[in-house]
Amino acid sequence: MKPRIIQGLVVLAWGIQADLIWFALPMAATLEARYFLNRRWALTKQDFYRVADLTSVAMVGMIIFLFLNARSYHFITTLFQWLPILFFPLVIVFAYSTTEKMTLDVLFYSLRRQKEPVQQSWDMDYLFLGLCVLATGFNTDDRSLFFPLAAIAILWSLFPLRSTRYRAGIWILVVSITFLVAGFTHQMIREAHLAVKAKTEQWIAAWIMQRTDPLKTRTALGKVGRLKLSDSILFRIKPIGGQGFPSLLVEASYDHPSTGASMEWAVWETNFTSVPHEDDFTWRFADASPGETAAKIYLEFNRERSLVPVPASLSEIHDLPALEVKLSKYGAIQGSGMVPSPSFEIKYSLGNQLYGPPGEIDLYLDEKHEALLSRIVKRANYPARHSIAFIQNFFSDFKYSLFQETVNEANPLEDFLYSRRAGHCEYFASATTLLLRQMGVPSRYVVGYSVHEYNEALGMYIVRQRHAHAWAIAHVGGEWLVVDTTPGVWLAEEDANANLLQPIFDFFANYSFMFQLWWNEQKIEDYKFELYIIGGILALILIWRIATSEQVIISREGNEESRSWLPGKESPFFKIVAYLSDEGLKRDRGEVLRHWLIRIQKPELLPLLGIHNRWRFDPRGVSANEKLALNEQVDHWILGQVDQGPQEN
Amino acid sequence: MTSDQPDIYPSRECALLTQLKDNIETVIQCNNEGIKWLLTAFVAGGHVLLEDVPGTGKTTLAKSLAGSISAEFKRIQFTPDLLPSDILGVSVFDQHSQDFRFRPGPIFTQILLADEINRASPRTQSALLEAMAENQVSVEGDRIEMDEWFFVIATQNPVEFHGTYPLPEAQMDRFAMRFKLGYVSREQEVQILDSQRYEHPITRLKPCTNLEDLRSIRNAARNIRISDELKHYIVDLVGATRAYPGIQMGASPRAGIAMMKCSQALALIEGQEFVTPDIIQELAIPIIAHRLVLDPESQYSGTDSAECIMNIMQDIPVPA
Repeated sequence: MKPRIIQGLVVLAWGIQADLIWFALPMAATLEARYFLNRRWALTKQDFYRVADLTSVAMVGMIIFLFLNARSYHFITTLFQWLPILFFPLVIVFAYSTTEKMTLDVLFYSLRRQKEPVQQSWDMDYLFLGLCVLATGFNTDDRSLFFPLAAIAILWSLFPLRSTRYRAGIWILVVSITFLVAGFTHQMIREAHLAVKAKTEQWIAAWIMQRTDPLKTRTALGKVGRLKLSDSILFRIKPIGGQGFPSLLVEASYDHPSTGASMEWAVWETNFTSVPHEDDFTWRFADASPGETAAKIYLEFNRERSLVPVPASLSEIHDLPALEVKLSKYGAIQGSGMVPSPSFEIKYSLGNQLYGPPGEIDLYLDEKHEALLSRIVKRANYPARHSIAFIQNFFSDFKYSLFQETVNEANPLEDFLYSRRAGHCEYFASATTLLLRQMGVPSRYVVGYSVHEYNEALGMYIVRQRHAHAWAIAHVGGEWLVVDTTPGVWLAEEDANANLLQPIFDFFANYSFMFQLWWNEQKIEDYKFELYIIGGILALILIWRIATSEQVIISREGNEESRSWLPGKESPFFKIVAYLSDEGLKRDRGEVLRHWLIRIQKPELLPLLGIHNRWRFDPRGVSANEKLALNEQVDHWILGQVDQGPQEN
Repeated sequence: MTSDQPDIYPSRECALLTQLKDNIETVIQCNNEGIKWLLTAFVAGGHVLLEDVPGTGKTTLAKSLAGSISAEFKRIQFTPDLLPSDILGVSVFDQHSQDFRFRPGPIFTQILLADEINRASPRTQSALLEAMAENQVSVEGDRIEMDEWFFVIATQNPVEFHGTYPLPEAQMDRFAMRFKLGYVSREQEVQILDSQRYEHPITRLKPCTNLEDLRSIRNAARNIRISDELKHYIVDLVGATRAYPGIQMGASPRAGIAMMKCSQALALIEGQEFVTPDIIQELAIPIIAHRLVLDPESQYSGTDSAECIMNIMQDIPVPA
């Protein structure tokens, strides 16, 4: 019982779903055409072995090719989608041979070595049907079609094989119920999966990244308890030519303090301007200068429309995989359309400033803050340099603390300045920015990262989430100066807070990163030599397999009924049979060769028949030497007959 | 026949069988393959039905086989008034032990000659049935195992119809083979007269093998190789009888099993290590013919089952 029609339909469905319709059409046609053709190939097991070997070689080649080209696990999807094409030669050879079923040793080389013949056999057509359904399932775009398709294919192909004990209606009913239950369960599992996935994504996003908004930032001022940031690595920086790198990376700056209880900073001007780019890969922020230093930044995580962390003295971004790069007046750089795990090169030189010029808003203070700060210094315009020195001196006896106990909820800043005199960087940066304004210096609140952890093995700086930092900048003498009043011990305290197991995590993270780096730099062209070697070895194996196996003559016999494979069909004795038949000494259908030879009085052929019979009917077969000997004797006999022929006639 | 035999026997078992055949031939002459086929069935462990007119040596053949292998031999003459207990045995009251004691009947032997089996009533015939099929007998609710060498040679006379009960199909199926011995040639018959001038040669018959050797012969037969293709051929032959015009009931799968086992045994006797198609063709008629039930039309038109099988063998392409 063969799965007629449905096999072709499933192949077509696979072609449509996998976008390989031009392969699928001839495949389906060839498969279905055999029901209209009577001719079959009488192939031996060796032939099937040969085709199976070819399939394996093609498969290995394909895996290598896809692996080198696809560069991600997605190559598995492609591989599965191409499986029907890979297996097609084997399937078609079975379809057009006299062999009904394939024994497992065709597929598994190890089984061919066994002494006992392999008994388990599969119907290649059903196997291929399943394979096509599987390959169709690997199309992720159009799921709605797959389930009904698979159900119909299974129903149709199993229908002829059902138990005849029950009526067909009952069988269809039971199978349909099974499919409905399966479909329902499948849908439930999928929905549960999606729900868990969404939750996990949310949770991971919250854990790994606190999003930095270029327009406003909410500080942790006024929160109670220990502030704890994770150790996860956000990005790595490789300085090019030397080890030095600016100690602070800017993500964004803010100029507008909120008046609410919890401190919030926002920007006054929200517009971004597009950065002109010289070519497709280079964006210029400042004119090139001889003192430019270069570095490469590898972002571990991607955020959509993410802010690009850069040093404030940036002059150029190169190779950023983004469609457009925008810059705000506050030094925030936005890249749109960025790919995951991007890496890019930057250039920076000391004279440059990303921040736009100061305005009125950089001096703005609301009454509440002014009143609060008046207890330190009256609002007035002091000389800028003096003001900075004053402020740094003012904070010199403050302590760094990640832990906040009792807090004046109404005004955490007051609490910080006058009673606790301890806090984390956001307190210091906020207070410093406001205090600078109180003293008449235009200032902004900046968030970014501190760059200080250098990894010798990688030759790179590692920036973790807990390296996130905030500080103030003051506009003095036409340029923005960093005023970081956070006590210098903050780095040491943050690092002391690190997870004990962090070195182990880092070890794996760094090595996977290094592998990723190495892998991204590989190109298939670089491996031509290796590929040739692998291909050469595979070809040699194939040649060796062919050379060591026996020579086979594929006989085209019009066998109406297909039988299991026939050993010894290639026996040279058939040449004698054909020769004698041509001579008019025809054998009857039901006449065994021995009786025939006796009838036509060719008893000299009986010894040859003995070897032939052993070849054909002894499951143990004959040795290669005996085959050669029989071949020779047969040729010898026929030659002798041909020589005699003319004389007799 | 002797000129066909190879000088070097492929195996010891083959040599033993040839010896056995020669030994039997010192007693009985046979113009066809009767002795060979009898040995084939015996090696394959199947029972034989000899169908022939009286006086062709059926009993002598059975006796000489038993004598040649030093096996226990018994003979039952089937008559219309024979009862199952006459075959299986009966429990008699023992005065000494005050208990019933089972006295085994003639069926408890190694080689049993069931002479003129179609003369007994079906009830008695069927007493043989269980013993032949399952090598066991149920007497008074007890199960008694038969000897492992239990071998039935039944004879029947195909000429007479009066006062006979033709064997039921089920029982026919239990015989592995049925064949005729036939009349011997003129020269052979003269030779028979010569050899029996003073005494019957069976009195001089000496056993030439023992049961231990026979066991190894049976094992060797089981190890004769047979290819899948030939198994298919056997199944095709047997299967064709079920759809052949003129045949009411074809041969059972048991016929196929018998075909395989007997062709293995015959291959061993012929000195081959594997089965060839000519061996299968040789055994087709003795193994399949008696299992067929012909249509009344073909019966009366003179067709017999052997002819049907000849036609089938002509129709089905033989593996070459």
